[in-house]
Amino acid sequence: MRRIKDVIRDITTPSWLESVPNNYGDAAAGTLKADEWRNLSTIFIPLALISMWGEGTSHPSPQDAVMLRQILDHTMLVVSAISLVCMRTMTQTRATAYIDTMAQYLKDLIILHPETSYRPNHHMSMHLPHFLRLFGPVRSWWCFPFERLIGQIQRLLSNHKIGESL
Amino acid sequence: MSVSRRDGDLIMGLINIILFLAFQRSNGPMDARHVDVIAQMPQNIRAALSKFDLDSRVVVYAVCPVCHCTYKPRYDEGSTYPIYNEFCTNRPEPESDICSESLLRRVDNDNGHHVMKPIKPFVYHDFHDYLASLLSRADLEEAMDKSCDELMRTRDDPIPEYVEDIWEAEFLRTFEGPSPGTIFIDRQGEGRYGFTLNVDFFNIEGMRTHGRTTSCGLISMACLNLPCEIRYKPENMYVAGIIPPDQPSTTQLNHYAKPVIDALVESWDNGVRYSRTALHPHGKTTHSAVIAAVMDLPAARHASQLAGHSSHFYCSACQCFHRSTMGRTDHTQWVMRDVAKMRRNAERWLHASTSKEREDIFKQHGTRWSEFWRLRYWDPTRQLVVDAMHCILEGLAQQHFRFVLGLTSSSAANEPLPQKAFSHDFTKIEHDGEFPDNMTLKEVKQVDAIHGLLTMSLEGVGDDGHVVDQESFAESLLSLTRRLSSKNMKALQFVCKDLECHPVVPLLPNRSEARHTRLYKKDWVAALITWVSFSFFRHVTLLTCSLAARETSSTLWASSPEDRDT
Repeated sequence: MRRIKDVIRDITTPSWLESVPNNYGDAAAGTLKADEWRNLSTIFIPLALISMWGEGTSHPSPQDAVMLRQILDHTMLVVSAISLVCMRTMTQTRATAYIDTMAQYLKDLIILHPETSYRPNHHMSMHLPHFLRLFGPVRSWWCFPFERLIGQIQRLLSNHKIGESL
Repeated sequence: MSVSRRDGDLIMGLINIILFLAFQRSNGPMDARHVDVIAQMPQNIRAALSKFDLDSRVVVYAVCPVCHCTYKPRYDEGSTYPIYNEFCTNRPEPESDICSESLLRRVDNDNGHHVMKPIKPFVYHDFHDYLASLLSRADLEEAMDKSCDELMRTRDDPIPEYVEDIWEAEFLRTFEGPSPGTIFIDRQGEGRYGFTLNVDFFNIEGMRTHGRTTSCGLISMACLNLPCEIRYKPENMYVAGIIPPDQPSTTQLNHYAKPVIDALVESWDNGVRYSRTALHPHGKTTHSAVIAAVMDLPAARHASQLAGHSSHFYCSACQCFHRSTMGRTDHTQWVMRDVAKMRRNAERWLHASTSKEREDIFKQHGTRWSEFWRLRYWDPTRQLVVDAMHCILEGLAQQHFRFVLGLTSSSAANEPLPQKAFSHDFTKIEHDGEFPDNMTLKEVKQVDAIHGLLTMSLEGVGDDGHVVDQESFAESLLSLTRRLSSKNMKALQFVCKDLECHPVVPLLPNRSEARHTRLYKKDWVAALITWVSFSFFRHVTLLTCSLAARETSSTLWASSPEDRDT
């Protein structure tokens, strides 16, 4: 956990990359926004986890090392899937790579983390390639712009009365 | 940027005063021309804005406060005063009575009269009016038609390898237009506009922890014909309406979707003719369609009136059925849901004569009637997209990092799970069922935690069972004492009884006997520590068992760590 915070604090990022809260994980950081999850999961967390669990790190016992390595590899599957799906251009190869990664991820999830259960999102994520093929890259059909619109409406001042012009 | 009405009125008032002072002459009355100018000046900001005719056309629907049915106002000829139905005439269920809830309330206005206003209004922004505002700008109209023409030109080319936008992908290339046999984007001089539609529920009071919660809905659309960079600018997006609080349940949402679907059906079936647009002074016919409905999972199921995402019909696209199959990865075997059948079932639901029949259809097929079915081209398996933002980023990523890997401060702050030194056959309490000794669930959980603590390894003990580092050994016993003391009395007592290690009441020479007949928490903890020291050393090595145990247990009764070290 501390490692992730260190990475968030110490990393040098290009200015167009929105920063993520450096108190990630604390209750004070609140719920993260989708964009923050994207940056965290594709940049910050992999860096932190690889440096802790990846090649050349030491662990108390060889079993620990093997287990953490497996968890890391599994996590990297979900990281790859996220990067693939968020690309600004889409190719058939990428869509195929995505679904293969995702299928592998789902298969391993229950083996490595037997306490988890499958959720509807897991299933729906397997349908994304179908829509990627129909509609192209996700940015023309994801909810970001609509959520932003909601954000703007939330910020408008209101008198808590519905449907009345002032 | 934004100025409130009051400030706007102030500015208009100031302008009026400045003009009046500027026109005033020291000798005699004002010039007739100047009087005329001042007379024409609007006195307040509302009047000023109305001169520009910038306001979009909105219709205020009356909503039934009980069943959410929406009523469009009528207008008497030549009047702009809306007239509403007085009572709700909706039948929420096929066999139920008419709702007949009153829709209006009396509002007294300034001049002693009263007007009837809807109790619950729903402001609908006219879709045709929104499209007209886009088409009144030459640059936008050009861009909107260009995207169709561009795709028509390259339609016979194969799909490019790198698809950059929705216009290069498969759906729009094959989407059939309103007249059979032609494709939608083949516009033939008309306007063909595709939209993404979003319904979402949000908290109008802002996202604050412990803040007020008022769930409002928002129906909005974005025009896909616009180039990507300007497509999602707020001024180019369409807000059909904000669904007033008290989130409508299941099919009640249909009432709010109705006005915008009405407009879309009209636009698809007959086309809407604008008498003048920026580039077509003699008018232009347009057809608009919802290309994709982009929503998060709950809203998607709600708007399409398909069974919820946590039901057995969890998928809107394929025939995978029953929650237990949610982890299937054999995606090549999945069969898409049959749209014609879904439509048939939805229609059967609509025309069902009893609510029992409706319920049966829903149970069997997971479909209810949705206003979206009125769009002849509606295909939920293709057009109700899975939103990548919610599904992958807020769903999968969050679930993986927070819950599967447990990467949160609260879980990191927990002391690491104790490493087990030995195992013991404790009496476990089942979490479901009767708890002995009137224990609460919390205490039962603590019993489990105590079991874990008792078997954890102690620091400072060498492999041969000798205490090699007295200090860290004492330290770990102290920490164990502290952690045990944080548990509830009942839990400690239960474990003690289970282990048959009843606390020994130590008799200290300078205290009276009576004071020590009562057992304190510290005594129960001490008993457990004694048990630990015996069991731990018995398990580590039998050789040094008695010696070390005697040594530790003799120091355990001392109350402070200083005493213990001596």
